[in-house]
Amino acid sequence: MLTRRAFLAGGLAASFAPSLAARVRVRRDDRKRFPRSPGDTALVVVHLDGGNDGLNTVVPYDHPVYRRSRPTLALPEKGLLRLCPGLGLHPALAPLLPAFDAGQFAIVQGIGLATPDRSHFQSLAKWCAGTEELSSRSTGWLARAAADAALPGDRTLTYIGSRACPSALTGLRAQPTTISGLEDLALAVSATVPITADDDPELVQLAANATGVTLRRSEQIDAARRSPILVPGPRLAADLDAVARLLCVDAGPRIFWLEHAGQTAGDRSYDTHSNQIFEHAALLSELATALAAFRKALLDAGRFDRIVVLVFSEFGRRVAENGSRGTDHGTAGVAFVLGGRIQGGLKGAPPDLDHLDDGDPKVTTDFRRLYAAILGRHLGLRPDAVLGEPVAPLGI
Amino acid sequence: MTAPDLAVTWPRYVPDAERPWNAERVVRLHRRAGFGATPDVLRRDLDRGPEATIAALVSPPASGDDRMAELAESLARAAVGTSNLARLQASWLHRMLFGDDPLGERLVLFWHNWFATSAAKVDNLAWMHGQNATFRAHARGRFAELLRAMLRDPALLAWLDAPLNTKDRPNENLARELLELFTIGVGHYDERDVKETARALTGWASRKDRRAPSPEAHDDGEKTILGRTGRFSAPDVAEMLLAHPALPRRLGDRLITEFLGERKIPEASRAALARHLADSGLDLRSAVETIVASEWMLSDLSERSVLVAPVPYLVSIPRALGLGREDLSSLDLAPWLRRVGQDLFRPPTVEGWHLGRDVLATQLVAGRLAYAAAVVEGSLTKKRAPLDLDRVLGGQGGLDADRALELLARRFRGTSPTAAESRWIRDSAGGGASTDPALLRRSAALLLASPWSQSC
Repeated sequence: MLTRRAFLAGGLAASFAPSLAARVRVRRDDRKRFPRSPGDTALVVVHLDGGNDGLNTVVPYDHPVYRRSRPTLALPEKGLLRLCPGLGLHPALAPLLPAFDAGQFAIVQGIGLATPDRSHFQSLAKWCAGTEELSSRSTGWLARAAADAALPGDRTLTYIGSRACPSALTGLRAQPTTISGLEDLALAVSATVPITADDDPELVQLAANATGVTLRRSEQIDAARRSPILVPGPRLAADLDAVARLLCVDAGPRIFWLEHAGQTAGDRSYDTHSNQIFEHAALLSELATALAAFRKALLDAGRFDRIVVLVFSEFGRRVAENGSRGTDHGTAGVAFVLGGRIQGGLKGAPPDLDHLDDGDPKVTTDFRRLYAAILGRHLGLRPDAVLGEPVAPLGI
Repeated sequence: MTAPDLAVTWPRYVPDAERPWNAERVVRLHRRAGFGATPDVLRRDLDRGPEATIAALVSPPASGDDRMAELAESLARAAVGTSNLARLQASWLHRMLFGDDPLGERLVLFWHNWFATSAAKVDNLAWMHGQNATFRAHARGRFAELLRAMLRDPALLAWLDAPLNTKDRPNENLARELLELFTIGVGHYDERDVKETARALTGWASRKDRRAPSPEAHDDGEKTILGRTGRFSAPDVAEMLLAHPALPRRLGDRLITEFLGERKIPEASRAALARHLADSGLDLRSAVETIVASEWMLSDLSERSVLVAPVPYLVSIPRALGLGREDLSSLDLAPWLRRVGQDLFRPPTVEGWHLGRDVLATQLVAGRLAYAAAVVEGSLTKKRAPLDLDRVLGGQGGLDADRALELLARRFRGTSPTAAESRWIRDSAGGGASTDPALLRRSAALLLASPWSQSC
């Protein structure tokens, strides 16, 4: 386990990189001996709400454009977690170093949309649809994934949060479960599943389906509710705890969607238009701590090899800071993947700060390549069918 | 080309032998355009007929009930004084529950969703209350006045970082949402327009906000917005957007969805409504009247095109049960707002609440079931005692479950329980003598939250 002091000494790039490579080689061997059965992996998607600043997450600390464009926001080299020459990880992500060391944490750079639009809704809609051509008929990529696996949507797709169900889970006939926490499904009234008549109007049928879903889920949730806490803490930790407890009670193919929005629920906390430094550090710290605790809980339960966590944000932020010590909506950003059987490490190309596109770094990794890797290599599904066309998967 | 005739494209409901003005239509009108009818309101509106009822909804006479408004305002003052959001929510709920202007309060709710501002970030209840009052003042006026008022609203401006938007470093938040959400919508502007609009809005602030930037913060250079060039500032941008042809269409479509839900409205009618809005200076009252008085609102009783939104659903239950100010306090309803899915003054994002089919999300369905049970079991009433359904439904004792459900269903949604619905309620409510009060209550809760009661 690498210590902070060792990192501050700065001379660890050399000793860090080979140990990582060695670990990754070991994991590949493991895979041959223990073939995974596809279709029983759980995917947890964590949306960093608001547009996470990729450049202060994976930091090109000595690039002159970076230092020049961010007079108050540029992070000093000292204190960063060195990934390779010229790139350091925000220190708040230190809790994830054991995972990185074990080859279970992938950092994807330069990821984003080919058609950036800087609108939270539009960008998120594209990530959710798994395509940049949106229409009023767009469906969610995860809803299509559940359909491709021929899995019942209500059992497979779960949103844990306090807002409207994200469009990634909707469309088609999927009726995802949406809860704020395990306690939300404690039913005050006992009821059977309602059965409508053939001539009942469509909205009545929909309401009846929804009621049936609610009743069925509440039975499942009850067992998880009675189990002890696995991931302590509020907000994201509490949501990951709910996921962990559900997974321990009921194994099998599952897809979860969580949001990390920080202290004030409903706030797009990563949307750091002003006074970014402390807020961003606090958010990343909360994120890393919760993910590390989640990983530990599932490792202890012997289930981490069947989990993939995808962490993404709808866009990165502009290279230049604005006048409020913050940054405005940008384009290319950073995504993370965590999992017991993924191929970890630094992926993708660092943003080219010498050739910006209207003040933003160009996107070098199509976000759908990330989806293709997860769908094909980890969920045992057909990426082409879900994404609508062949997409070369990323090496994770 | 002459404008399409509104009378042709928006035919009005006219009662006749096949589509009489009856209790079912009164209930539907109040569910779609208000917060459901109380027994008194049902009797009154049945008597006075559709024309007088709709006229009173659209343009209520000055209310003689000052006490209701006084109580609402005193709750709001207490909320501001103690920084207690639940009290502010209760203040507004009080108006919805006990006031005489249901359509007005539905429109206030509509504007709250349109200019969605959250107290979670705007940490100032006086401003949130002020914004709510501004919505009320302009709810059915001209949209231009509402927009201009919103551009001076301290809650909205703080929410979208306007005070931080200065000449040296523009902040695009307000500009983007002004174009995307508050006026013309996606597809009618580009990124350049957002940047230039942000410049035009620099230094703009509410007079109430003492942190506001000074005039020196304003970038008074030339900007090019939506094809026009000039030394624009906030009022100029507002005028440009108010004159843009995309705005009346967007307003009209959203109002149609608010009151008619998923009903398919012919393109010619949508265009006519948009044209009417444009020609009338974006007169909201007139557009709302057109929709509410239309055939599509009232004629076809077998149609279900509107999923009742969380707040109207929440408020309609005590109203249908005839519970008055002496029976319950809106403070006891406030905590349920989040569980049913519309936490007033805290919309999840500036996009507002996702309504329509999203109200059927799993935990919201669970929330409605739990809420209906809580009301019926009396945990929300002042006496904290289970409701005597026999008395509530006007019985003379010995009320059995089937009769209770019939009476309650007709009051709450205008129609009798269906065969499938009755079967479900009987299976779910379990055994017991059919006049057992506990069985009556369980059945009533199931009916209020049943799949057949969620749409109208």
